[in-house]
Amino acid sequence: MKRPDPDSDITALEDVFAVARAAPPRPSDTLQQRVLADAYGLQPSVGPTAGTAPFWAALWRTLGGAPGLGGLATAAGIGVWLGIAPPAAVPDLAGEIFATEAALANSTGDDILAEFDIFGWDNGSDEG
Amino acid sequence: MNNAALDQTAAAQDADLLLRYAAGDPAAARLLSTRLTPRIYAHAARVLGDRSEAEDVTQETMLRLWRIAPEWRAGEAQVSTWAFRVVANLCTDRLRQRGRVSTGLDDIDAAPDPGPTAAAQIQQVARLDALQQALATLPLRQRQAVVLRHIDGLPNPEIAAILDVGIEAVESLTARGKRALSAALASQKDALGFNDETA
Repeated sequence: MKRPDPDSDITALEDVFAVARAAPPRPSDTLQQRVLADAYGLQPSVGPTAGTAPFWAALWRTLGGAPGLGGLATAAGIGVWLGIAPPAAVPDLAGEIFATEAALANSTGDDILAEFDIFGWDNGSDEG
Repeated sequence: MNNAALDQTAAAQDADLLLRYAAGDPAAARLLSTRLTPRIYAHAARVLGDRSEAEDVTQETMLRLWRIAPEWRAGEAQVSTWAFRVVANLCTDRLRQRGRVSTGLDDIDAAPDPGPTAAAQIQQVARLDALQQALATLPLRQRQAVVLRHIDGLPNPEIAAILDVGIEAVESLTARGKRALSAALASQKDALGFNDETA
């Protein structure tokens, strides 16, 4: 009767392992494509030059690029326009300021000093 | 260069590719996928014995790798060890869910070795089928340890990290697994042509 040979069994097993190592199950092309699609879908959007971008490029991105700067420019333009020609319901603050400055610019020194009378101060020109 | 040095070089290349992927380099995604996907899939196919399930867990493993890439810290772990650990856990979950052991032999596309003759190829396929059937009879941890050690070719410390056990436990698992596989294949030695070679 033939007796089992443990050494022979182990050798046979090692041979089977060698066959398995030499002929691994291969992933299908479909799986490779699915894996790559996941990779590209999840890949962070920062480019390879991130971190070394020039200051102005970083500022441009921070402000939101063209759409962000477009909105900013529009808001600034509207603000300037409202300051120059405000609607009737809005106090013309700029007009009042400029008018006052114009009055000051056109007045003489005596006119200015005369206006201090309303505070009870004497006009130096009345003395003597 | 010895195997350990080659392993370290490969590990460094994997880590570099993962960092490049996280930095937005599309070529890194393709290269890392080409390096890891076949290994992960082969392991899953051997453990699960089912191509469709092996593809699912492989895709899930790689998906988790892409997700973790931005937080990956080089030097803390090897990328391949991390991936094998994930796929091992996913295989465990799959087998527990299905509650049965499937051989699924016809589902596995083994890469044919172009060298042997037709008769030798038939014998080779028969041996692979026999191995797969024998693997399916092993307890899960033994099966995983045997596949990682003797088919995937990983060293015991890495297997210990993957299976989250000590190195002695890995040695015990692989030794018991080999004995069980050897016994399972012994009855088929004639059919598999081993006695022809050893005579």
